[in-house]
Amino acid sequence: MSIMRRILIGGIMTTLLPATALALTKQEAEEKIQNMEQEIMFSKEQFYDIETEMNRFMRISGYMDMEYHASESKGSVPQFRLHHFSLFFNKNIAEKWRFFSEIEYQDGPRYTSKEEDVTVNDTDRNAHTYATLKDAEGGIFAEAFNITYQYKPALDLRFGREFTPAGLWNVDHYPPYLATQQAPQHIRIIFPRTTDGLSAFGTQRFTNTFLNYHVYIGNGEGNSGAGDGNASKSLGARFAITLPAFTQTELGLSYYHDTHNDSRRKDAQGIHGRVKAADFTIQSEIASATITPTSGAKTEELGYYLQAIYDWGAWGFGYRYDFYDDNTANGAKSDIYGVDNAVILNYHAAKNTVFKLEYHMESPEQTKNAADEKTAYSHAIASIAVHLGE
Amino acid sequence: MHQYTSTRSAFFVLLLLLALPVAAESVAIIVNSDNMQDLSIEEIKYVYNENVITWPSGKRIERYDLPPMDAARETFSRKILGLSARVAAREEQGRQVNNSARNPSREKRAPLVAAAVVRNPNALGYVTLPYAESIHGIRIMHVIKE
Repeated sequence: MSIMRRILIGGIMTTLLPATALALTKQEAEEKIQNMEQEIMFSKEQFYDIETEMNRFMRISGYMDMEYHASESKGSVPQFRLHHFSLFFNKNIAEKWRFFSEIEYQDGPRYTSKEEDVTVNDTDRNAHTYATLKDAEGGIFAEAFNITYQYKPALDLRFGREFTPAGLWNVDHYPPYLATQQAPQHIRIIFPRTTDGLSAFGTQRFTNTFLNYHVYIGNGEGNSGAGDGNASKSLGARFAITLPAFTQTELGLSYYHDTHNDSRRKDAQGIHGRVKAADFTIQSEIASATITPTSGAKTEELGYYLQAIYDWGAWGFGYRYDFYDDNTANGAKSDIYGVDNAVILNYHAAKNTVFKLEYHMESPEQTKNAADEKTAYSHAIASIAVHLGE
Repeated sequence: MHQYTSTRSAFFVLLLLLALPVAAESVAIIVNSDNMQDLSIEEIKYVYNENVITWPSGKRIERYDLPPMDAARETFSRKILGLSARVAAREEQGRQVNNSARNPSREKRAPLVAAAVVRNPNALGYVTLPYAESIHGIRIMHVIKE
């Protein structure tokens, strides 16, 4: 009996012990799973919190480019140029409000001051001595600073300084995303580089076609950010339609009207087109301006270019024909403008880094006076342009 | 002689391997499983070109991209946008830099794209089809076959 009892107890123990052990293990496992689920939940919340915090930060990015120039032009020497170093500051102020600014340092600016140079008296006749600028090289320019209110897809409002919405190059003008360092000749001449004021823009859909518009009012050319030298405001508009042809097709027109501080009236207009067909991109802009003084002859400006780029992997090959005449009205000849034929080679080492080699064959407009005649020359620019930050 | 033959065979096998096309996977365009709104392939192109920035409901589309070196982005860019991933990424970044981006995309790796779509009912993204099928909480809107 005793032996049987022992066997029975032993059997029960043998059967139950692993089960008890298994039950404990399961409980532990459940606790561990619960803990892990909690940790995952905390991690998700932390990730969400970090993302939210990041969105609140002012984001700083920018770009830089450096060039090497070699030219056949008389008196020119091969040289490096630290062309641009620009800083962008962006912030999503609120759900529909965005801030954007760009501070550009051109040609590695250096400013030094000279102390005890100017003494002025304030309104209480107290004398104050201020330092004046001794040397200045390069330039610092607040190219853009504006606030955008994204009301709805068909209407955004922008306040501040922005690049004048005109044509293609003036809108997409950053070196890391352009085929050449040298812009077509009429860019930033016929239409001004920037506009200080208000603008409204948006996109309206018509089935498979989109109309993008951008209308603006501003102080006009020749004014600082401090104000306007005359009562007339500049007015402008850019309209572009995106068509479902090829990969991407955009056709557009731009208009600008301004009265300068010296009372000259400027009316500029332009048309542009860009067609992307797989790896080919062809773009063209034609623009003209009439500047009418209060007395005397008008000035007629005309510029156009046609550029073709073929993207082959990281490489881009292209050609551009570019023409500009700074006065077509009275037969005047320009000694700096004319025809520029450019051959273009790009290598995109990364999406934000591009090496460029461009060879320009410049033919300035010929004068009737042989003594003043400018000879054609060529020059090459090798450059690297990098977008800093995402 | 035998060693030479082995080396030559290995060289040809290597050449053959290099010549074989890399098997690209199909790409799934994904949305949150609670999002029952549909966009056509053409409309997805408009979304990624920033001509369309809202869902039919009026909510802003939170769109996601994979890094340009990801094979799935190459497939997506070629088939939907008609551009290489490199060119599409440059265009996207160009719009952001020149302040003309109206609805910038967020570039994330596949797990974060999926996580964002699971979390956000207004998100739109794309990942490889097998990966999309392994994730709960997303709906496959379209499949782009390589």
